[in-house]
Amino acid sequence: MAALVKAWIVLVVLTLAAMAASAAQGRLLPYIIQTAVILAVAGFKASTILNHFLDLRSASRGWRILFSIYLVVLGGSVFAVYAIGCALMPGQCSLLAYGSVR
Amino acid sequence: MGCFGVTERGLIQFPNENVEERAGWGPLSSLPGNPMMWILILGEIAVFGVFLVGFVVARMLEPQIFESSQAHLSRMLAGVNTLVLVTSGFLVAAAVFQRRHNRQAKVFLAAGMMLGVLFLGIKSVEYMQLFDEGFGIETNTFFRLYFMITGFHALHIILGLVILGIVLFADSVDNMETGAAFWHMLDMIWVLIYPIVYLLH
Repeated sequence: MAALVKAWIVLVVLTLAAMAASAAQGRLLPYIIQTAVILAVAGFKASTILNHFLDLRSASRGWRILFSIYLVVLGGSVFAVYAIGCALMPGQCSLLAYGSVR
Repeated sequence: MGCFGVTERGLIQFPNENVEERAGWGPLSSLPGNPMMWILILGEIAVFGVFLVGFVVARMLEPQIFESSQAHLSRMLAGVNTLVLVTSGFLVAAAVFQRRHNRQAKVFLAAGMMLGVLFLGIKSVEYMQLFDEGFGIETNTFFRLYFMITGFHALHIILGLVILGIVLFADSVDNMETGAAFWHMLDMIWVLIYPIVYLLH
């Protein structure tokens, strides 16, 4: 039960951090890094739910690898599409420009 | 016919046919809960993955429309709903833990379900606010995809509540694990929807 409580606290803290960052109007991070951080945090939260709440740790190694691949491929695809979209809009979007985290 | 077995998870009743059935599921039998549920879960995860990638590709094609439309979403309500759903997931996981140790589990399961209902309530408020502002499923590509993805997820939450409601009364360890697996899948999908639909811009 202690492991479950710990996983829940991690999920709540990461969500509160995302909410605080999204409420801030300031320019916190360059666009490309901001996108990567948001996706990495989401992937970490998803794997926390899979490993601790769903108890995938007790499933076979193959399943854990498969679900990790799913999260990496999904997050990687979203990141790639964002980076390509930004690169295709010179003048309107710069990968290294600071964007406000909402 | 059935038999009882003592495992590290506590005293569990194994109907004989169930044990034989499980062995025939190959790799799926190492996952918690009924393998049939996992076929559904794997399908759902694939579908939501395609939805989310489709959403960002559509965004790339119409960046201005997506940017201006997304600004009307309530990131606060979505954040609160994330807190509600991960807490619900925790309570359902705690219910399974309790059941495996033959301790009081129903109160955790019922509390987890109540938070699931609260999630739907907050989602309704979010939709009502958008409708009041004049946005609907026909407004543009962004709102079509937004309502489709979040609406499809909300429908699954309703289905999840029905499944957990059944498990509340048929509370064998296997049933608990099966219902919880579906619920955690929805929890995991939501923590992916939240940043991709509401936060990234």
